[in-house]
Amino acid sequence: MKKYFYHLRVLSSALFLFALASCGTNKEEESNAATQDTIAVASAKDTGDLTKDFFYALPSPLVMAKVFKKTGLKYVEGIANSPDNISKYSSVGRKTLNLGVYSSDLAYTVLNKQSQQASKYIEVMKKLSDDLGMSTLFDSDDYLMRFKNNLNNEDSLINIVCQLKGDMDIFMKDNEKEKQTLMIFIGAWIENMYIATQLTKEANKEKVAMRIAEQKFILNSLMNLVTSYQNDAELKDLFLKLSDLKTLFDNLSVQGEDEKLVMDELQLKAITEKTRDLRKEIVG
Amino acid sequence: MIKKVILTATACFLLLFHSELSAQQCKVKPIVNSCKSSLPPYQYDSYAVKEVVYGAKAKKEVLEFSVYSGEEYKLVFGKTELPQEINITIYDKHPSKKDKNIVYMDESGKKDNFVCNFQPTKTGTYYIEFEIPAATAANQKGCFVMLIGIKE
Repeated sequence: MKKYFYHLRVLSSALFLFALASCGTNKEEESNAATQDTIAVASAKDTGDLTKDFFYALPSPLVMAKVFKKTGLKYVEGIANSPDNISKYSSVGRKTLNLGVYSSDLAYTVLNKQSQQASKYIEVMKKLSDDLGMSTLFDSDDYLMRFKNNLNNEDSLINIVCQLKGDMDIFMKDNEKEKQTLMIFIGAWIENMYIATQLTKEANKEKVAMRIAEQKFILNSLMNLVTSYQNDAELKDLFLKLSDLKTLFDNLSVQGEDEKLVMDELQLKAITEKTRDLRKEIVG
Repeated sequence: MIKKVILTATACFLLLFHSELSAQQCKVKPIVNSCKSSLPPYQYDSYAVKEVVYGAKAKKEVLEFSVYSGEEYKLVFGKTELPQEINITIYDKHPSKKDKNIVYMDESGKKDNFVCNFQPTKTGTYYIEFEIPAATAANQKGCFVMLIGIKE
């Protein structure tokens, strides 16, 4: 009798494991069935699959900085976050956000031929990456050494920054660091926005204002991604502040067939102030 | 004897379950390495990855990317890790919208990496729609990677 119960118990365990394995399969089939008819449903499924797929490509800090620079944005010393501020960042969340901030500062200094300052930014990026358990990222291709060996060659520095971004993207995906990727992007986006909004007087105001207004589309995409983390302890507060900024962008009017965004002085001022406040909270 | 059969069956189910979990992870490094040589002279900007699961019927899925107007982009589609070809169409609006316009369509039918040049007229989000054919074998899945390059 005892032996019979033992066999029954083992059989039950096997059946339970079978049911567990079947669950995944059924879920997949259900998912397939749900997505086969309409694209809209497929898109909704995509959002739910955020942790598995990096289905959304957002512009790199270098490209954002490049687009702003083309409007005539000049280099102003002291506008970017000081590398010395790294000592302020003790939590994983702040280190991650400021890794993004410094990646934009690196782009800003490289594009403006400030190679000595740029080398300080890549150093702090390495330090933060090491602290965040991503030391293999910089070590794999000896980025720091290559960067320092090419300080007099702007094209090489830009190439190194692009390669580093590429390696970082692969590293983050293959190590399933979706949330950290998003936080790095938020830090980078805010820093680029901060630099652009603070320097509108130094540039072709109309052109830079147009590029700032266009960030509405990038912010919309960003918010779609952040929404999945709106209850996350590290992102909750940031989500609310970004939502406030989004409200300001949503108030911009659209004109003409090409749906050009129009931003007046007051709207630019409000976006500038909100961006400054948000950036202040991130960089401390 | 019964004990032996049940234990073997349990081990098989565990193995099956484990392999299914492993198959769900999309590792991008080998795919990126296979297609990144197509990017120069454009500089790397960003990428997107999508795990493609082939189902009983053909289906469509969407991948999104953001670009700036006035810039010249090169898109490299890494399709080498897919068991079956997928068709790709790029739209300026979500494919479910009636007023969408086709920006690009890959009609090559080749199961290979594919490259297209792209100069957006407006800043914002563009949409890549995949047409995924019905599965020809059980548990058919693969990874699709898109690299985005920008002209210097």
